[in-house]
Amino acid sequence: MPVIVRGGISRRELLATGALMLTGAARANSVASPPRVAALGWSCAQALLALGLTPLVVPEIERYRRLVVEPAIPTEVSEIGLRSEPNFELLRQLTPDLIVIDPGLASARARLERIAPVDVFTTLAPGRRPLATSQEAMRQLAARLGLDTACARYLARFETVMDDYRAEAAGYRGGPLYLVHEMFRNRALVFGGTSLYQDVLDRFGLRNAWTGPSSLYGHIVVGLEELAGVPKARLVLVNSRAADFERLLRTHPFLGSLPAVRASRITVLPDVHFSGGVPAAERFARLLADRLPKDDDGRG
Amino acid sequence: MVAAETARPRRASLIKVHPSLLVAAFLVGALLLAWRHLSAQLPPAVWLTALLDPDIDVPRQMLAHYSVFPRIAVALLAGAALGLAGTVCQQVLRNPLAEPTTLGVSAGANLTLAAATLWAPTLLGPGREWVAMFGGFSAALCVFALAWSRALAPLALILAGLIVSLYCGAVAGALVIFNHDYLIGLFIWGAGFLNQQDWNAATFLAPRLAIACALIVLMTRPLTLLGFDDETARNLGLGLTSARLASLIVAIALAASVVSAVGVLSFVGLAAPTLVRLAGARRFRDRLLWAPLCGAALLWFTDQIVLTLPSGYREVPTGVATALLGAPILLLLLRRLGSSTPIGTRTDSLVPRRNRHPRQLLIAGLILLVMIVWLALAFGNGPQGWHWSRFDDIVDLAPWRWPRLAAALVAGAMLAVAGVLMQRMTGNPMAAPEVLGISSGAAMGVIILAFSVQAPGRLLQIGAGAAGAFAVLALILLLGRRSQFNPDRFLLAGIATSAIFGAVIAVAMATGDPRMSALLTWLAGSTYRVDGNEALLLCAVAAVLLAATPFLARPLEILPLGPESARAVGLAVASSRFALMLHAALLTAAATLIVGPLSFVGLLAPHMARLLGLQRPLQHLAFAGLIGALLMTSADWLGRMAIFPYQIPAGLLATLLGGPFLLTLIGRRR
Repeated sequence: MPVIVRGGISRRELLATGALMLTGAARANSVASPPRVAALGWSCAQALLALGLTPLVVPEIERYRRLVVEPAIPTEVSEIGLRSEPNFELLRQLTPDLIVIDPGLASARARLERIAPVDVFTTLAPGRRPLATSQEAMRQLAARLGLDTACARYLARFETVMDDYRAEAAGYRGGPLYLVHEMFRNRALVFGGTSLYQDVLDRFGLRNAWTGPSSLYGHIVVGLEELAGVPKARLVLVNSRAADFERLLRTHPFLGSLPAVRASRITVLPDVHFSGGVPAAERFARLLADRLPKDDDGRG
Repeated sequence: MVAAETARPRRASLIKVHPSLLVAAFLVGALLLAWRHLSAQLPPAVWLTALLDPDIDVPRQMLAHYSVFPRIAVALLAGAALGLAGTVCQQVLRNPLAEPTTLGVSAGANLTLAAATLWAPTLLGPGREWVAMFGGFSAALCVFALAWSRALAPLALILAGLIVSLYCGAVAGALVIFNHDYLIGLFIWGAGFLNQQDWNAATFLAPRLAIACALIVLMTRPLTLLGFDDETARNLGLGLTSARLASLIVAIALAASVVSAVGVLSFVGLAAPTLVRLAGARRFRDRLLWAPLCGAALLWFTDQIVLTLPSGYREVPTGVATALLGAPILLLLLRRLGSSTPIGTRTDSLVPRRNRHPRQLLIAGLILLVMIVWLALAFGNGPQGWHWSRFDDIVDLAPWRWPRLAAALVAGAMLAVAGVLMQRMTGNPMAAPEVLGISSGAAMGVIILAFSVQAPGRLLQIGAGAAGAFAVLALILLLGRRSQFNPDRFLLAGIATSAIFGAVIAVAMATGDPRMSALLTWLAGSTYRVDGNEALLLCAVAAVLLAATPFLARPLEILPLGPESARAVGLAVASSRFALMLHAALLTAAATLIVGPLSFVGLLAPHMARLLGLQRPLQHLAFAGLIGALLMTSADWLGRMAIFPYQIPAGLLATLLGGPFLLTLIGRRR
């Protein structure tokens, strides 16, 4: 439904935008360099990189490279500390033009505004599809940075590649998918209908085998026996340490008896940032389309 | 007259039901629920087939065989094991509150499992039992070392257990803050979920339980004698130390196996022996038989209740259900422990030499504090390495540095003063602000808010924290009124609150929710989110509260002499205790709301002040406050700079660095 999420622009935002345009203009006059933007979360860092803008700083870069992977962070980007506590002092020294934060840091917003204008990058909102929310958030961020054309180009390219991946995934004729991120002894972290992944499945015309409740982030923690609910299902393990899970599944007498495991209907994907917005959706779509078995071998 | 006489025995007979009735009641409840649960999945006709020889092509039979039945078996075995371990602990330590959870065994085992998950995942295969065992025994050893100088007196032991648990929690917290993404697996498991997919846990526990039972049965006679006082037992010709040690080792090993198999199940080990005792199992021999049975039935019943709860996206782990069940039992016990029961011995034989130069020392301390404040404002790490800032830089940086510095300083002083109040009033060296349960209440308020409101603001967080803190305060004051604000009861009520809090945290962590990571730093005592206004407000509150503290010096001097002496010199005991308690609670609440519930400095600073020979109440208060401020400001500065641009929460750093020091400090007193 065509809801306007944010009822217009607040005065503060207007002022901030004005300030940004001024500073941006000043810089444009002097060196004509792109705005210096600090990304204090992973989702907004992904969005900025996808828009072709290299952020000044990103938190927990090393871990980003292992768990989020793309878009890749260039080496000149500085480390800013934990996602939950990015370093204000360092940020102040780096004098960014704009600070973009994930909603988790909203409580520090007032103080960050003393360094530079702040934009909250929201990829998830209750009752709205994560992909649509992320696209909207990206457009707003791009508009603020004067990158509308880059954003339009990126989102158009996203649609094209998604169509390609969809066509590639169409070869999969198997059952619904259980999307599992973590397994530890008797518990599993499963993604359901409210997840970003669900948007990808919907575009591919695939069904999620987990139809139970799930959180705002789309996840839920369940007992492993719940994975027996849909006999024809395929297990998709999204984790670079999934080899351990596979061994776990095969050595368990009960899990080993699951039709999916008995017929080796297991697909392993490397890590994806599940609240990462459009770039994460694209990464997931590409990996899934690539790794799902096609045609005959998919029936299991 | 007649009515009274007939009413009394009837009431007594109601209480003195046979333990078997109690066990039977739990079993019937569990059976009915299990029947309902199982028959919803399989027709009763094939239950036996499903149990013994399931058809691999019928998923429901496989599910019953590998999930439903083992879950029942594990609940029964784990319950029995914890019941047995609890009974033995209580008997050996002559302590109605001793059990694996209160002795720190579970927290220790959990910590080593977390560490192994990060650094030595290969250990977690067949070796996980040994990893858990190592953690459990280490924690228990620390607890005994702490309580040794007080002859393992019941309350001393429980407090030591609480402190060791808190410390293990803090260390685990440090692991979590910097490795959240890799520890999700451990959280979603560690809250004591009883889900099973095979018979491994059951076949793991069964032989261990059998061996432990056999060993304990062999030791029944010495164990029974241990129930008498040392003198009697020794006269009956019993090597006390070896008997104690052997049976405790068995109990702790059993508890650690349960933790390694199914996670932490709090309070079953406390509830089972207590319930059978209340149901009339007065002799140790009887409890040894009935407590494990009661534990088994109780855990099964609890687990079946958990299974009938609607499972939304937040599922209730059975371990949390047992904690919620056990905390009221602990509170109930408080009322039954007659005032004659000596639950805490008050001997402080070691009195350090009184300091002759308190004035000079005070000046030296203040100079040191000023130096650290200057250091924290001017010296730092940055992209260009360690450096002193130039003056204009300091002015520029001040808005970022001073609120945190001020919050750390003031919170440190407040917590330390609260600690002095608590320790002097209870005469117990392990009483600390967190033992009040106030900080747990504040933390619960904040966590519940975080899960009910999308991106709550700072003000809302503080409001929720305050609501939680004052709810707990009201509760403990209400409970305390009955006992004339007997300090020991306060401590125990605080322990119960902390246990419930631990359960709430476990549920929150078990959801694997990304929002937890921001909360974790606050829980670990971070000053990161303090802004200028909050710091000013905290300073104002602290100024008022600290200025009022000297008026409490007289009761602080007199109360430790005992209520009789206090009354003799004309002190209103109950109202003085009330005033002290309220004051300590307000100090703790104000500090906690700003810098989080990890108030270890409130335990440490009073001891350091005493070690300097500052005994008189006012001196003790002043120096503890100064030391608390020094500790927290140094910890905050170090935490901000040590691994720049990453930051270590001040409370966590103070705990990590101060913990071992405290251990030696308390352990040495005898």
